[in-house]
Amino acid sequence: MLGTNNKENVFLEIYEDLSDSVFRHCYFRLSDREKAKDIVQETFKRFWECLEKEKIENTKAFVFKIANNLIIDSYRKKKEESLDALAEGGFDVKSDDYEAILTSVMGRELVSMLDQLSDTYKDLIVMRYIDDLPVYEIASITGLSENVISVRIHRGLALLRKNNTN
Amino acid sequence: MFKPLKQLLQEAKSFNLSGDEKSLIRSKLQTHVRNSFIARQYMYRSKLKIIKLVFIKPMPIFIVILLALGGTSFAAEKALPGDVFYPVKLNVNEHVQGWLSLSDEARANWETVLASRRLSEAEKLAVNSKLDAKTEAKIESNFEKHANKAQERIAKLADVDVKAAADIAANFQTFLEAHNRILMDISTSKDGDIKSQLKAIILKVKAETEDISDDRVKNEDEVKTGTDVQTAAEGRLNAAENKLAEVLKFIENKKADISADTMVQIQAQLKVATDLIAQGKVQLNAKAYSQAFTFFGQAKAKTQEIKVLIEAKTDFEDEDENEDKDDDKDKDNDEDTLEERRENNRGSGKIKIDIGL
Repeated sequence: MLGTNNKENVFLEIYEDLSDSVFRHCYFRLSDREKAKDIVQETFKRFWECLEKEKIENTKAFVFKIANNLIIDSYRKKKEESLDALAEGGFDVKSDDYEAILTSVMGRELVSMLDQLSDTYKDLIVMRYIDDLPVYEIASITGLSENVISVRIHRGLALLRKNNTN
Repeated sequence: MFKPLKQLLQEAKSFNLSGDEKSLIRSKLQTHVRNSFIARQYMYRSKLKIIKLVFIKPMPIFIVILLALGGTSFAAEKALPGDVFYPVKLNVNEHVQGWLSLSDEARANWETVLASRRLSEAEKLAVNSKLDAKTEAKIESNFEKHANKAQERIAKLADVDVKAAADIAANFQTFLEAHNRILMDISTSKDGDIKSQLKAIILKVKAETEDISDDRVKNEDEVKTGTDVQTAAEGRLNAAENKLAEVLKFIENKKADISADTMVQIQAQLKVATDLIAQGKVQLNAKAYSQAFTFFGQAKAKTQEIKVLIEAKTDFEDEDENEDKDDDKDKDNDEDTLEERRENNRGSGKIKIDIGL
């Protein structure tokens, strides 16, 4: 069994490894930097609680599954601001953190495109092409069959291409 | 895939937290991890050691040690004013949890949770006849502090997200109204000092309810007259339906503790909530989004209120009262008004939380 400090170190290493990809995942699904940060924090908080109680086989899939559930809760809570509101608001970076502003501007175009898709397609496209998760891992995170996931990704990409061309 | 899209997806992979953001979350998580270690250590300590620690050097040193170590305790989470662990709950547990709320929305929400917690504590103490004047004054002042902070944060949030501000204000109002009813029901069964302490809290709750109601109406009016009222109405429909599903599940889990008569009252109240959702849907289909928004908000509030009242009913009502619950006498009471039932229960010493209106 791991000692107190070791366990904390392992947890923090996992945070260092996965925090950016979990943040990216949350951001492109929620289109809101502040909420994405909240969910990153809550995800790792819950991950720590699970880490204390049970042995986790596939850490990355497990962490993404927690984030996925939190995002679904957030979707349920309310619909997000429309793209127009987002654009009018000059994006959602509330700090004067230059690095954060720069990355938000970089991601802006893709967020606009993804926001034109329904969550059904957007979520899977983000997991497959931004998080680089293989289809079988997406299946274990979402509970959908690999076949359904592949079909939806294909359709989502077709819609993205169409919107991109237009 | 066309190149620009492929390029955009590729670029997205370098979309990261800024260094400051990553460090801030890391340090908050680190605090959480260390708190959980210390909390667990306390759980493992023998009762004797804790008693020794508490009684040899009473609270201040004990608290200082906990604070110095950034410690929190599971045991403190359920502590009430007057308990040894209560300062830990206020100054450590709640402080740390509050610190974990990053967004304006989460912060506003957290203040409403804290205000509601103070009222629950007053209710528990009053039920056990332990609410003295000093404790009441402390609870009242803490409640007022959090209620005012909640209002400040809701006002701040309204500048950037008026829909979220309206939702939090509506939730808070529902909690306050439900607690007001619970406090009144407890007060009916009590005499003397406890009744006077409760009266003071009830007056404060009423005043705060009026304030938050004004805020809710103001924010809701802004949403209703905004360009995005359709999305807001649809969002509230989702929220109302989710809340209903959550409360149905809650009732299912609690049904062993709920009498047949109470279940009839609950069903009647649930019907009010489902009717409000149905009316909202009619308005939504007729594209009367503003009215739909109002109906869905009322449905969610009604459903939330049912849950809070069931929790109080199952927590506070006396055992012997529960045993009597299937009696014909109680069935007759269903026909009485809330005021008549309160009158019948006046000064009886038995708590009776009313779910029906």
